[in-house]
Amino acid sequence: MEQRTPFVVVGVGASAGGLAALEHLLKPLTPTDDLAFIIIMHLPRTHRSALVEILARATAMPVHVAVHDAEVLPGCIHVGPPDHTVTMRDGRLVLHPRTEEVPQRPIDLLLCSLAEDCHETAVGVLLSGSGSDGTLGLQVMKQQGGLTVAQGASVDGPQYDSMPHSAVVAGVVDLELPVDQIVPRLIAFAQQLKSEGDAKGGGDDSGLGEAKTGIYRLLLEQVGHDFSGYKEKSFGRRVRRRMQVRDMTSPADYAALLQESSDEVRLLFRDLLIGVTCFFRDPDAFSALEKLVIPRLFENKGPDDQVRIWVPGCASGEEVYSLAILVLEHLQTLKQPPRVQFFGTDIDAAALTAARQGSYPAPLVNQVSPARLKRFFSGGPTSYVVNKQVRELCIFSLHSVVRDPPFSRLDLISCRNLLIYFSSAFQNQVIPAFHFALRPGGFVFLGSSENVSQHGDYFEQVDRQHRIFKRSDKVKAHPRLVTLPLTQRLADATVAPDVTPAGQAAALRGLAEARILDRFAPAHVLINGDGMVLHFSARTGRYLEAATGQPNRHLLSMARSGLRLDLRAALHEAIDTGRAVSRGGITLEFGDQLQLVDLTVEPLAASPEGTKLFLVVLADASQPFEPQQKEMAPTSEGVQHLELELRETRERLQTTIEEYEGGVEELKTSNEELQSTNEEMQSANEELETSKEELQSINEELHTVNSELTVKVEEVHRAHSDLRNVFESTQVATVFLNETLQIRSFTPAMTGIFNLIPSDRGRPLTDIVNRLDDSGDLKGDIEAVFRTGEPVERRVHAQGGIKHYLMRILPYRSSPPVIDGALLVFVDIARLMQHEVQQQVMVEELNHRVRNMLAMVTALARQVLRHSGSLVDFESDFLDRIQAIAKSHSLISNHGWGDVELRTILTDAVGMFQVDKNARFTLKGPVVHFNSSTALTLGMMLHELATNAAKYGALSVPDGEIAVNWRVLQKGLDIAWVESGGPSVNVPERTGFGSILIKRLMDAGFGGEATFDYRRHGLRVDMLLPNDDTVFTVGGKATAA
Amino acid sequence: MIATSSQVILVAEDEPMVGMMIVSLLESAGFGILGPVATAAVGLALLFQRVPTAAVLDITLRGGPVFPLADALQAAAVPYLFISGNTAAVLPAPHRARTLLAKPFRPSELLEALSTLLPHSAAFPDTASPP
Repeated sequence: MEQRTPFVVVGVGASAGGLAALEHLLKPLTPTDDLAFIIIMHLPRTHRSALVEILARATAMPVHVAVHDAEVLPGCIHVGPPDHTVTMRDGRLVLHPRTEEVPQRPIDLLLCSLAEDCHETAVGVLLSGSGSDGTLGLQVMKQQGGLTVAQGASVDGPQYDSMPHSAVVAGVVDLELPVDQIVPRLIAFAQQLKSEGDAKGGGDDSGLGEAKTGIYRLLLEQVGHDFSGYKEKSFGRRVRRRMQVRDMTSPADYAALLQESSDEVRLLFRDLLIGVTCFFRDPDAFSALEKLVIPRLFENKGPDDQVRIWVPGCASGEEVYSLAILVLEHLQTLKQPPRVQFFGTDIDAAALTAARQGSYPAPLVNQVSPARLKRFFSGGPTSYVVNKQVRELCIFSLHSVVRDPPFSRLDLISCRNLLIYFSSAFQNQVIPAFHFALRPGGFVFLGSSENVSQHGDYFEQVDRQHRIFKRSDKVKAHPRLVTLPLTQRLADATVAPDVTPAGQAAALRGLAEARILDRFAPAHVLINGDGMVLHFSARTGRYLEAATGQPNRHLLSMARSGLRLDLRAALHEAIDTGRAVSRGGITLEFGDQLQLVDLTVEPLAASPEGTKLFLVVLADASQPFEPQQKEMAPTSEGVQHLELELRETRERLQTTIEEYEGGVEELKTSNEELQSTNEEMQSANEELETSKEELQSINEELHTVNSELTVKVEEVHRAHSDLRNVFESTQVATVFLNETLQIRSFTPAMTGIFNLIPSDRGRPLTDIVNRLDDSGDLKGDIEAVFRTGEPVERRVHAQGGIKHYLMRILPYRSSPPVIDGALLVFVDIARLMQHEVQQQVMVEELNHRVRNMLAMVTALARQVLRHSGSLVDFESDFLDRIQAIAKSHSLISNHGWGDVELRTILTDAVGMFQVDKNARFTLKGPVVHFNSSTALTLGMMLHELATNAAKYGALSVPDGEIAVNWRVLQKGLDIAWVESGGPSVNVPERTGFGSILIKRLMDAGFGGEATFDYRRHGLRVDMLLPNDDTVFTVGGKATAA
Repeated sequence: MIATSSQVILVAEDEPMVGMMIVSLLESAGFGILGPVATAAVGLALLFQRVPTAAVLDITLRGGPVFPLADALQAAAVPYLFISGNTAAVLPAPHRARTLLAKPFRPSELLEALSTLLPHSAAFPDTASPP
């Protein structure tokens, strides 16, 4: 086991008020390989827990939701989901879905499984909560050697202390610590366990060495129980656990501590006694009981009779319920079943609470057959509850089998594995008490290692192997003695074996003295303060006789009638004064003779524990005499009269005594009635306790849910305010409608479309005045959306067509896909509309330009055709000009159909002829801008000139140069195109098409003129454009379009 | 086919190449020509000097649409037609009934449209018998 889990697995259980406790618990935790955590919190099954997120914020250790079959690894925190129970098997988590019916004891379940899976390396921690879940689990854990811790009081102790407190009261908690000290302690524990594991392997099984014997002795001396017969291994395990709790490593130190502290001895003793019970523990014994005993319990019992069964030391009730199941099964076979009553008693109130609840983790129920499980239990598969039918038969109450008087008139006492914890002195006390409590023919059922054989007189064996005994009627039942305290018993036990050969002479003397006493001493009786006879001497029969009715040993009931009054008076006086009291001359009748008797009651020295003893000595004071003789002796009449009066008085006294005894009988009957009333009240009380438990568990769940909800509500609140901010910041007008078209909420932008004010929430949207030019069938549209689930989209306009919106109506789908409302969104589309208009304009403009261009090309074709000699000329002329148009066109296009500077137009026109970088062109003039249309015409003219120069003029030779100068004059813009350095120029015989074109374009386009001067050293063209700001602008940009 | 100088056509066209073509087309058909003008303002100025028989007006001129000129022509009861590269050009109400020729047009289309404008007495030069 240590090889598999060298780390400590900590099971943590919390309930109401546990959230804060968990956070505090985990806060000091840094990632460590020594510990693994499994956390269970009481939550309703359907609750969606945020526990993981909350805890992840609290600690640096990784926190996961527990997953089925996940390996439990050190350095991990597993949190149980609310809809599952979590257990651990073979180092892995096992999750079972929780069902509604199972009562909530998930912490018990987890701790039980941890204990059985990890044994000594398991730790159980119980934090704040109400109820008693976890107590049973810690008990199993402690029994398996694990460490148990409960959140104890501190400055901020558990908000609800009932859960940890219940475990503390049950005595199953090793450490009670403030919540923030738990984790450091656990880490220390894990390290100690590790080093212990390393150091192990010493000689004996207990691992305690020398100190063991000392511990045995201390236990025997102080609590009177000898543990040397116990299994060393389990003894050692529990002692070591106490050492760890005390933070000690050396067994010798611990033994020293035991010597000093009787509290520690008591705690150790209690730990050693922790046991587990389970259903039908030792099944063979139960089936023997079922066959041999149960049918006989019901023999000769009618429906008015009662069968009473007592289970002392019932702990958490498994044994009681096991028996009840057997009895219920038998009752079914009877036609007229008697009433059955089970009494479960224990000295542990918390265990009794658990017993009343009747809810058990599955491991405790695994001996129960499936058929019984189905019939007598509900719930499962991880925990089971005993049915009400069974629970109603059982009464659980606080009762000590040693200290309190036993129950009576019982048919069966089942007392399994309780006697083993008792010393023989206790056993000697308890077994006769059992005998007393049983009816004649009643049974006792003991555990497999227990016996009553040393009290053979009281019981007969029925089944030796399974320890079933029957009450023997040979011994008369007697009320039991006053219990002597443990120390006295111990003293007796240690003194008793002091019979040695050396003491034999003294013994012989004692024998002789006893003989003499027998023969010569007056009859005497040793009684206690209650009048119970402890010792008879010889020859007491003359004075005492057996009383009628139930045999008993009360002296007064045994005394002969003449003696009784005096004896009672003397006894009372002796008790009151503490001195010897004598009464002489008591007349006793023996047959028809009378005798005078002396009586002495003498207190003996009180025993060390304070019990008073009295010696009653009875002696004859005269010879027997005839009543007549006595009467005759005094003869006077006065005396006779007195005698008569005395006789009458005696008779009256006798009557009074009889009346008194009748009264006592009546009191007894009333007492019995009271007792049964008391039992009824007790059972009502049980039910109340159970309801209280249930209420508590509901209450704590509500608390837990409430605290989680508070966190959730905060988150929702935050999310809500985020959303509200988004709504308020968004410019998109949105309105939310419910299915009856009432307004749920709207964004501020919506108020621009509908006349909405905040109080309009809840009013139908159709009632609200809107600013739309034509809202159309809004209601119909929304209803169509509800009907089809398809969104509707429409353009609407407002404020007389100034505002444009795209209205979208969308279905509002809630989380199960159901349409329970609608969403109206108005998107402002003014810009979209503007763009659409612009686009329309552009298309028309484009259309216009293309058509204009085509018209121009048509015109050009006609012009060229008129001046061309042949089709070949036409082709080249026409294509040249198309080329020129194309070039000018791309220039304008590059300038975005805006204004173009003259210099740019010139550079573009001559650019294609500038074969090298030599400055063959000089451009000089102010900044002048042309608009797109005039730039195109001017570009065409300049192309014409440049082409001409390249063919015939300055550009046809390498050295030719062209200078273009322009000036702004009063009459207009003057552009001079001057060629030089080219071939010599002659005035052409016929005006060329180029010059005609230029002249005409100048005229038609600008109302200007162009003059050609064919000078010898080069062509000069002067172009004059009259001032017209629709043609060109000087300086800045042209103003005209 | 010789133009009678009495029949003068005002041409308003800001695209010189097209203007040149219309002018040569009308000249060769025997019409006298006023223009071509590239802006409405120049056209109006010409109108003060001489009232034409009819007018061919491009809608979009340099510096603005031709409509001020068209208004003046209407006021002077001079018939006119529009040419435009813009097929769906929107004519303002006073001119909505006028003929609109889409560019590019065939020469015959222009001449035909023009002939319907002219009074029959001043018959189309092409069809009228010489005096």
